[in-house]
Amino acid sequence: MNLKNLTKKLAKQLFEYKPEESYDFSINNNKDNKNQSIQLADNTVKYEKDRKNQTIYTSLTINKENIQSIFNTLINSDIIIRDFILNARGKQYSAFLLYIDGMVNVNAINDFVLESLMLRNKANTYDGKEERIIHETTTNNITVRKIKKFDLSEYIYNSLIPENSVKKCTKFEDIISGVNSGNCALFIDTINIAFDIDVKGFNQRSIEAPNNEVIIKGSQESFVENIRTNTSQIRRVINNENLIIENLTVGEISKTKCAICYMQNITNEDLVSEVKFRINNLSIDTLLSSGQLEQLIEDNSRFGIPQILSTERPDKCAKHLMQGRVVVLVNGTPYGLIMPATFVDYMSSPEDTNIKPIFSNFLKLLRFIALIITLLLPGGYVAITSFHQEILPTELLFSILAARQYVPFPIIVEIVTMELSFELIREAGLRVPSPVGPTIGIVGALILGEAAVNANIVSPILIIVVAITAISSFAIPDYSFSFHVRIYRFFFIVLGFMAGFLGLGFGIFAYILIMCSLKSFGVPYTVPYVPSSSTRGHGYLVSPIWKQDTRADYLGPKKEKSQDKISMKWKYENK
Amino acid sequence: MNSIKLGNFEAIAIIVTITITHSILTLPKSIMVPVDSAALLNLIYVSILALFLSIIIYKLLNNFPGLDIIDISEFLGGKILQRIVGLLFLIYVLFVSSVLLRTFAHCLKIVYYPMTDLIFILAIFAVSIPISCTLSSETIFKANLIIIPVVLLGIVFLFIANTKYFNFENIYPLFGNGINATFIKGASNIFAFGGITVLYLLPPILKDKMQFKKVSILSTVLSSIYFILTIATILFMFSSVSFTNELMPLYSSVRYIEFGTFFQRLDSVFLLTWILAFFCYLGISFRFCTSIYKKITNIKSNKIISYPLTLLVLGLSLLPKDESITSFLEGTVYRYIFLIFSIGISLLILVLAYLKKKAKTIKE
Amino acid sequence: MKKFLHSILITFILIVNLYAFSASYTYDNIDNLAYVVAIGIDTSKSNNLKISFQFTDTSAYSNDSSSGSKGTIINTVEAQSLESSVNILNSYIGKNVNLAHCKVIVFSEEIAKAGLSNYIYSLINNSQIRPTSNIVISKCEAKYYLENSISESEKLITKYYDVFPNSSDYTGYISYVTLGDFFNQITDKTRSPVAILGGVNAKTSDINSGSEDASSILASKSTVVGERGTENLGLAVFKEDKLVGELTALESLCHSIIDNEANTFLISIANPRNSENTIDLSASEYKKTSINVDVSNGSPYINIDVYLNAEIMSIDTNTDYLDEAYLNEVATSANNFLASQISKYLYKTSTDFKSCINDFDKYASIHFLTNNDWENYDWVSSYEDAFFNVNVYTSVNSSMLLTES
Repeated sequence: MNLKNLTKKLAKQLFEYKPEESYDFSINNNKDNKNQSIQLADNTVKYEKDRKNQTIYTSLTINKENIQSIFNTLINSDIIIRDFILNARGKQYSAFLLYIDGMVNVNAINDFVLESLMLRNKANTYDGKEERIIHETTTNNITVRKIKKFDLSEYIYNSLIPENSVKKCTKFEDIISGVNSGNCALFIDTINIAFDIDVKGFNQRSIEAPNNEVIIKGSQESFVENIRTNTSQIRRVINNENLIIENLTVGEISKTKCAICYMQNITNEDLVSEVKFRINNLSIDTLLSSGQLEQLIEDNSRFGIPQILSTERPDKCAKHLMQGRVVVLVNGTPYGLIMPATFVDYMSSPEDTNIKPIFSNFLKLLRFIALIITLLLPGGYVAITSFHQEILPTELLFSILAARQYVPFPIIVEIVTMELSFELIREAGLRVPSPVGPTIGIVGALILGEAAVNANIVSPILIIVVAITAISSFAIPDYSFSFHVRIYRFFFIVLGFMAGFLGLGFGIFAYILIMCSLKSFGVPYTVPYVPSSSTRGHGYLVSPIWKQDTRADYLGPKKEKSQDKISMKWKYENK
Repeated sequence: MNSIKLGNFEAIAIIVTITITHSILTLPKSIMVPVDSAALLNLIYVSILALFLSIIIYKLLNNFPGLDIIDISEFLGGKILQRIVGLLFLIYVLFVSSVLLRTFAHCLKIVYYPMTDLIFILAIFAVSIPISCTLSSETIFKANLIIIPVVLLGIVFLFIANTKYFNFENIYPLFGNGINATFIKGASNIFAFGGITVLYLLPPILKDKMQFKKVSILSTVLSSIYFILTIATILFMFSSVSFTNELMPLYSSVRYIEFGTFFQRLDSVFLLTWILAFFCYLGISFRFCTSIYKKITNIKSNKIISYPLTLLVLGLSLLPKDESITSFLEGTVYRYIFLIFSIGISLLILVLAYLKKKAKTIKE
Repeated sequence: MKKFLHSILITFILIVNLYAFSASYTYDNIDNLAYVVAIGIDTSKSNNLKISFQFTDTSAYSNDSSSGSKGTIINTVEAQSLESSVNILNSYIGKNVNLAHCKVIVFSEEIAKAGLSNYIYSLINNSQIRPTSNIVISKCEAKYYLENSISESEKLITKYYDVFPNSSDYTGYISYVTLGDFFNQITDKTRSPVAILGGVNAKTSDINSGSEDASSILASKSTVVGERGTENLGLAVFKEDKLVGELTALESLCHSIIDNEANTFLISIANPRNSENTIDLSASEYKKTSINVDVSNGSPYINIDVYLNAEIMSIDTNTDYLDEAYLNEVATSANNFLASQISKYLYKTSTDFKSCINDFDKYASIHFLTNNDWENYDWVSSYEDAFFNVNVYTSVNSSMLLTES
């Protein structure tokens, strides 16, 4: 009876149909509504322009509502509106202060703005509605006085704000640009002027140069652990009010702050909602780093291939935000997560748009060759020497034979040993104390390698193969991506040993299949080649910057056009 | 099946893959032996016939937009005919795959693995089938689109690299074994365009149904260009007697490529690309098989059925006892099965369905 | 549970395949193979084949060149066929013999006279042997040829084997004949193959009995005295698969000119103004040789037009090399010389050898529509009665660096 039940249970487990638990999300890029969305985008632009050109109202409530809608303060977490009562000449006026948290020097606001406006002092207790008499004449018992009426804005400007740089603004546009750059804005009831006060105080560099993503010709700033500093770095680069930075907390115990950044007028809404949905639906106790978050929200973690870009450069995040991607920052980690990410993104470096396309395309081709070498050279070497020696030129073959004459191990043992030793050296190098670091490098690489060859443990040709593989693996820009390639090359070594080019072919086929099956937040990994979409400006090879006039359509952006067709008007339209 | 949405290039790549895979084996021999030195002329003639055939298939399928031949046979003769036609397609695909698999594995064994048992080489191919079927639905078609341009480039490179061995006078005498053999009996060489069978199954899985015409014409043109390159290479390089003797004529022509003393015997690299194409071919065939099976039997998931189908094809490819049976199956039996089934029966079903539809609309 | 079984299945398949292919691995591994670089085939006294395999000494390829080794090792086996000789050698050497890097296959004259088709078919059938290996017919024993083909100052015999057939490009005295070409021509019923002719190089000038001009030198009869014991000069002519004759250096040059194989070559013609001297011209074909075969009258009438550009290499005193009249005279002399030599060569192939060794059959088949008509014409016997008309059009441009002496 028991056995029967057990067999039944086993058969059920093996053969029962379970509906596939595949999580299928794709970005809705409805091309039929394209005209509609272009019109909508144009309307939005016009509406925004009109709104910004408005002059400041006398009613504080209307001003406040306008500001709240422009800055989306309900969802934008770092826009602060501080309401208070202003004392001036014995009268009290409602007012509010508008600033961006993290960009302002809080002490300056406290000491030189709020204190002087809110607290009682000699200047603002001046009594009465006294007007200043400029000139007085009496003619025929009629006194004619020329008086200067009390002007609140003048009074505040001249007497109540002891700050070095204060501007009076009448248009919302000026106020907004000031606030975006780190100033604070003072709005007061009954006057149609707002004050733009310079209190910039965002945290500058203890921000260091990036360690792992070094480029020659770009910015040398990287993220730090404080999330507010990181968001301010991104804000400074983007410099636009449509950048939304939403706050979320993840982790029931740690309540780690995460920030989701996106451009409201560019990024596809489905994408943003999907990111928020995934992050909000994590029931974990603690979230300690962006690496953990990456593993928790990526689509498919079976194969070890990364689907979310991880970067420590704010300029890289800004560039991707402008293309319509979403950036997630985690408090406590100097790495931002960019999603969605495709194969082309992992092989790009931030330098690619800073230098001329011919140089960056050369480097990109080099990186692709490096990828192939890292993946296939050791496996290919084993396959060729085990099964396909006729490919080798005769002299090279005999050199290999001569070099291997006294080596006791078969090729597979040699190559696996050397590859593993190299990985050991690489791992040990991370933990070596810095005074000893270079010495270990010399010991490990030169002496071990040379000593091993002289002792006839390995052949010199193998050292060259392993060295070239190692150097190529360093040429891949992204750390996680190069890591997965390093792991996969061991599979290729085993396959090459097993069945030569048939095994290698099987491995290559399986690898391509895996790449094609991956999706990163609804975007297929191998886009824009398969499934084919326009590669204008978004293909593997970089096109000149004046040709990159549309955003990638696989991201479904709201604003497809990023440049005019002729962007260099100085060159072409004056003719 | 309906969850797949293929773009143009992917659809074209499917048909070209099926053509390539057959041609790296003994297909050139089967085409060239009956027509001898008129092979190129015959091939151009057959390409034009294939183009007409694909246009006819397109026009007939256009009467039922979005339906493939299995749905059309259901319209024509109910569930019974649907199941019969589905079963016939299944048997056809299984037969062709197993014969090609056996031939290719045998060739690999002779060239590279003389001491390994055939079943292990077959097993490596068989293992790839469930992998390509169980990953998400469009994966194999995307992978195919990545791999096929590499293979096509290889063929072009082969043609260019062998130019120094070409003897253009090999096309004379112009009509080979006679006009009858070249044009009338030679018309059966249309079986080389085996990819046309896929056209019957293509309409529901295309993303944009309007592109079906473009797909069918472009794929036939691309296949014929590829064939012309292949046959031209073999015809110009070898005399008419020697290409009747080769096991894999294209492989033999690859062995001649030499650039100085450094690049020699590149046949392993070409074989690597052909192995990749073969993996793609098996994946695609079985993807279609599982979809057809799902259609005719209404099972919930088509992924699980790939395992028993794999074992079936493994068994089928082990059945022939020696190579004479396999080459007979590949050269002769396949030719007639293609002509009878892919052209005869399928076109008949389409024509009958069209007539039935016309009769229905007249009644209404 | 399912995932666990999945992983068990995958591990099982991996282990089984690792084991299954290991037979091929131990057979084919680079450490277990001995690579043959040349094969020599002779007859033996007991009606078997005597096959010599030439290996290289791998220490010749290592950096420490103090070994003082000879560089090549030759092992000889007597057996009934190539495959059985490889089989026997496998047990003697201990490593597996691999023919994938065999560059040269040498047949002795006796074997060639008896017929080569069986050997060629077996060689082509072998998946290891390259169809681009060269075929040499040696007038001496093949084993002697292999032993003496390396000179004392060389260590790498493979370099010599790679490079020596290329002299066909700039002398025309041999032809770049590969196994694949040979096989194609043997299977083609209307054409016969040629092969490189090799022979002994006498190391002293006493033994050599050749005359001094290129019109009669061939292997074993050249005027070269050097340290390499063998030489390759001339071509061996076959009818179907049997050796029927030899071509001298100059005749081989005519063969190369007709087949467009020689890029540049040197010809020595009589000086038109001084019959005692000869002028050396460096010539090249600026246009492909035009061949026209007319089969309307039964016997084929073959018209050959050769187009050459030449520069004068040897300088005479008191001559103006920019003088058009002189250049024309030189050109006429060259035309006459070459036309007569090519004619002589062609009649030799058709009447003496009765074997078509150029591509005339392909040009003849243009006139037939079907294979049946072509076969009924019987090209092989018709070629014996062929008429040849050779026209050479040389344009002598100038001398090399000096324009006047």
